[in-house]
Amino acid sequence: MVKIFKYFVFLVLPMGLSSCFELIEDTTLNADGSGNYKLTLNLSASTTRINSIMAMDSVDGKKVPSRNELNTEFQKHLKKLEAKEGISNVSGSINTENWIVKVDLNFKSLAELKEGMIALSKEINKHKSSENINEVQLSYQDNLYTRKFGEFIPEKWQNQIKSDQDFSRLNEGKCVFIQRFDREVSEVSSKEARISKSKKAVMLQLSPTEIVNHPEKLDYTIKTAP
Amino acid sequence: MNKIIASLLILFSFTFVKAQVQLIPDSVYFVMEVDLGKIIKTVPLEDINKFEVIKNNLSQLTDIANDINDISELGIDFNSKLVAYITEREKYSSTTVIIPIKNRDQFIGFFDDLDQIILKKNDPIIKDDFIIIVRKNECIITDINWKSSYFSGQTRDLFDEKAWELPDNYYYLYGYDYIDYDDIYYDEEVYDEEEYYEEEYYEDAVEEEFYKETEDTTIIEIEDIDEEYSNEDEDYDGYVYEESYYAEKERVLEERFQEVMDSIIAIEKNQHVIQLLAFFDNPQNNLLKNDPLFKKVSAEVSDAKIYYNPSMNPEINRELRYIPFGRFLYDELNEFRQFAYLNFTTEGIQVDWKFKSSENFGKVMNAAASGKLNKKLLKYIPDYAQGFGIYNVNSTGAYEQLKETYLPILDASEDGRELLGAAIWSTIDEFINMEAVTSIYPPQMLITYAGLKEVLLSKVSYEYDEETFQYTEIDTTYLEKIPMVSFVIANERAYLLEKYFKAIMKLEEGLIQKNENYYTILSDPFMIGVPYYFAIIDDVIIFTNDENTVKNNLAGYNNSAFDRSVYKKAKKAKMFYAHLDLSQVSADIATLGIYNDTEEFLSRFEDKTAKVDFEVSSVGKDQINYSLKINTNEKYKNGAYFLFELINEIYLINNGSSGAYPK
Repeated sequence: MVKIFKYFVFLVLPMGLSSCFELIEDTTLNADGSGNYKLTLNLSASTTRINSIMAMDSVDGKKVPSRNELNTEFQKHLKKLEAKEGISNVSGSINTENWIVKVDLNFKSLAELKEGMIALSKEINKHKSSENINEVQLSYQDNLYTRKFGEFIPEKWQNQIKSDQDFSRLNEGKCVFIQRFDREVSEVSSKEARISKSKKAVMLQLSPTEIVNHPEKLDYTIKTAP
Repeated sequence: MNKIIASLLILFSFTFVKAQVQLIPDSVYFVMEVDLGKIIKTVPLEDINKFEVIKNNLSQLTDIANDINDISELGIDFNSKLVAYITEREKYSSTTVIIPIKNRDQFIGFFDDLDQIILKKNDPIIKDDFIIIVRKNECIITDINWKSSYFSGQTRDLFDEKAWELPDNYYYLYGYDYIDYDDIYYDEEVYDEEEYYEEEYYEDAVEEEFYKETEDTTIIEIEDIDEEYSNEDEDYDGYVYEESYYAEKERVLEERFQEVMDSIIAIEKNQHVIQLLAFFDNPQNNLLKNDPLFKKVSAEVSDAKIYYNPSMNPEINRELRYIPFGRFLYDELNEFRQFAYLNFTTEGIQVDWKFKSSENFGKVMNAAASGKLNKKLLKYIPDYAQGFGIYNVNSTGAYEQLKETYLPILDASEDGRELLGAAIWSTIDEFINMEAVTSIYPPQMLITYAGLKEVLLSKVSYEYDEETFQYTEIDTTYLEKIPMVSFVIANERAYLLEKYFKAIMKLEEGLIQKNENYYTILSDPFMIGVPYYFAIIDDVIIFTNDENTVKNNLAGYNNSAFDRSVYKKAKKAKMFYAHLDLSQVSADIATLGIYNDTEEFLSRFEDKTAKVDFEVSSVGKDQINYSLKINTNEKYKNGAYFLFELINEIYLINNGSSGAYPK
């Protein structure tokens, strides 16, 4: 009986895997360019569906990892990240009850953070990465924060996502990018980004659909007081 | 006079139909027959031609110049039977389709020019693992899947026999023969030595084939490598030298192994083709002749029928031979047969499925089916339910009959393991109250599916401080549509469960919560994250995720109960009855958001609705009969139209013809 119930619910639920998620990228920058980077992926609004998938042995012929396997693999990647030059104090967790993934690390410079992330991504992704990825700009120099990677997102990748049946449902998701400084922000190039009341933080909130349709929205600069 | 003509016509048609059925070897385990004549009476050819799936497939068969839009121009005989069968042997599995044809020249015209030349000479086309034979009245297409596991075993044995060197990575590992050719994994096959050595010519043929192909190059190559590496400069780095030598030698040995295996497969393929062609020329050992049950099934008139004989599939029950009671169970299961008749009616589709067993097992089935469906469970079906299933197996009766029939057989066995089994069985039977055990499992049970319902679930959200954009986690809720499933079980010992619940609540907090008349399972045992509820009312246990059932309808949905006419059907059924109303399925799929364009999806599938009734209609002395009735809605002239339209829409949606699913 329990098995029948389980299989029935498990079969029906994952079919409509929701695209409800919240991604928060939170960067704190010091005057010397070093800082702290936090990444949070909140999938708690898809808990039932993720749990349904987790309860299956395989999906599309691919083995579904157990919660322990997921955690072990995640910690392995964090260790790899810790080994990258200019990256330290890496910690992270996967909350498998609410499905919230968190990563927290310190970096010497945004350039080293970028290099470390790209290197890790190449290690994880067995397929060849796009050459454009090396052209991504992420820097904080002379009181100017620059991020430029939207234009390097390959068109092929955008089209692939757009053609996905669930594309329109991505609208239900939320991506938040926050930059914090130890001094006041004087100017932000993005019209959609907001400056906090303290004037020391900038937040850009976009839906995944907006990012796919207009990846250039991810590219902006922030000028801080000298 | 009319009677004589009619009799002659029937005799003629039967002889003709029989001719195709006679082309089924007696070694097959699955057969399907489709009476094309009956089908086109249900859906005329001119209507079949209108379906996109037919049009598109026809256009792929022909070039633009010779485009056809009528399947009757294919040369197929639509007054005869289409037959398909599956064979499973140790060396291969194969699927064969026999298409009746009435105009051979017209039919051959759809093949490539080169193939046409072959077919015109009455030769078969042999391409990869396909064999196509076009005879006067039928086209036979066989797709063979050769089992590399079997041939790798044969090759290994030949290597052992000839004392040839095997590659190092070929080894015996936990019961599997394994050779690491690009991660190809070969399952172990049981190798029958006797059969192998009986074919004395076989080894010689393989050797001949192998040496003919390789002309001893492999062996010379290995010798060359030895020589090459023995002449290496002594100053050469020893480690690299060893590595290179080993890798090169391995490569050659692996190639050699593969070549020998290819040779064996080539010979087997050749022999199989010869045997296959010989059978079709002179189908002496055919299923119709050698299997009386199939003969009876085949003689029945129906739109389509299937016949399944698991004893002819060595892959099924193979493992049974190696467990205690295995031989006994194996012999018993070998008597199982299944066959079904499918007919299109004006109401929909009727499938009569028969499960045949040995007479001994039939006695057990009869005892199991002797209980009546528990009517009081039916009141727990809500009026919004989309389907339900109810069954009642008289497990006590079935157990007693099982004991009465099979224990004496085991007691009289000459096999020590079976005698031990009989001794253990008798011991258990003496000391355990089997009546109490069988009253619990399998239970008298009702399962209902009440569609999707919104349930309030908890999630984590983030709140941002406008001063600093610092964020904090907050617990919120969201509504999610969850499939509502309920199990209602009747058992006079239901009170035992309540005792355990009480104990668990005292032992550990936070697992189960007692409400007024029901329990909420707080710690989700399935780890899905949705709440479940239990209720125990006298001898009825309710387990559900539909709170409405346990909160407001503990005594049943008396005033808002399910369709009474369906109740009546359920009450008449034996052992098992299920009813499913598919009218909401399209809407549910659309709600789940599986398809991007829900409007498009609904426009295609909203009217493809049906009500399904599935039941055990009768139980004979060695046969249990199931009936599946699919009643389509009045839009369709008959079940065949419904099926064609459904296939058509699935084809179109999968091929993205609507533009709703850009590729």
